[in-house]
Amino acid sequence: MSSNTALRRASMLGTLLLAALFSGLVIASPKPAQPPLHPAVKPLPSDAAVQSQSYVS
Amino acid sequence: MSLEVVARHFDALGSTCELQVVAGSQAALERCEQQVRLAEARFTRFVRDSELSQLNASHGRYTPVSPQMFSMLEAAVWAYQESGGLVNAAVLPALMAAGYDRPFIEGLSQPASVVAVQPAPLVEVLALDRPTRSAAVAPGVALDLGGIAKGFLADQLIDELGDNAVCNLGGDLRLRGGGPEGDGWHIGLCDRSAVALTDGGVATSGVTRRRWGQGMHHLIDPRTGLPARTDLLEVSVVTDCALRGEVYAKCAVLLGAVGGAAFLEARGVHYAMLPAEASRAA
Repeated sequence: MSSNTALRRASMLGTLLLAALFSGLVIASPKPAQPPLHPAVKPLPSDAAVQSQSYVS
Repeated sequence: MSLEVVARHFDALGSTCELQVVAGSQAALERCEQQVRLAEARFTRFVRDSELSQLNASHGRYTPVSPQMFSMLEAAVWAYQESGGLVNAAVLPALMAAGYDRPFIEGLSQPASVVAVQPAPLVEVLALDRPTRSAAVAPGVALDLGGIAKGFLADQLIDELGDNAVCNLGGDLRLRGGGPEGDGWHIGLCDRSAVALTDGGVATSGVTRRRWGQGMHHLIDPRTGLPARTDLLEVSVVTDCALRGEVYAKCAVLLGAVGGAAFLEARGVHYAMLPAEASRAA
């Protein structure tokens, strides 16, 4: 596929997307009931040493 | 290179507490411990003249309370509403009926007969008046704040510890900062998994501790007025603060594996579960 063809297709896709947006055809992705309350959690490897522990007391 | 951590451990709130600060001082930790002890004296139901005991004995009269008690009672109302009634501070009569009528360390016994005592909706039996900073508890109702006190206090006290610290009160903890390694504090959860986070709270609830008699334990299900029957042993929740973690973890345990997972996933929090089968398989 030549670069000209690729550019034409990309342009056509962009035009279609814009047209869909303005005609209200694009369906918004479902949103959670409330935003994630803690998005910055990083799971650690199973052998990771911990500095503190949460537990039942 | 790890940064130096200053730590302090002590027994309070019926459990072990742990304070850790990166590049901090023992003096700050001592001040924080002192605040934990003052709050314990205020919130305990086992001392006749504690602020909570006086409120419980006020027979429906409005009673002026300390700013900290007022905040705690507001937190109890929030917990009740946020949990759809599953976290209800008015469970004290049910706890007493189940045999939890003295500090756990003194030893509890199986009651002669197990009587279900369903708590009234908290919002119908606890009245708060902000202008006069007073509270009223309906006659015949008594509050137990043990279900939320540790998370509430951890959230309050983290400010005392600075920008890189952990305030772990009996397993319910609030933290902030990069920890000694700089990538966040590494926290172990109930299923032996671990997470790193730089700001938030972690709490674990369950039925594996504070057990006595024949299947009695401290986690009352307000829907039945009895110690909860659940297919979960423990749940840990990682979220924005310790109080929310405590409330959500308790909800999940009470709702069981399927309902609990749905509850937590709808709220977008990270969690770990220890199902009852895990102990049988081990």
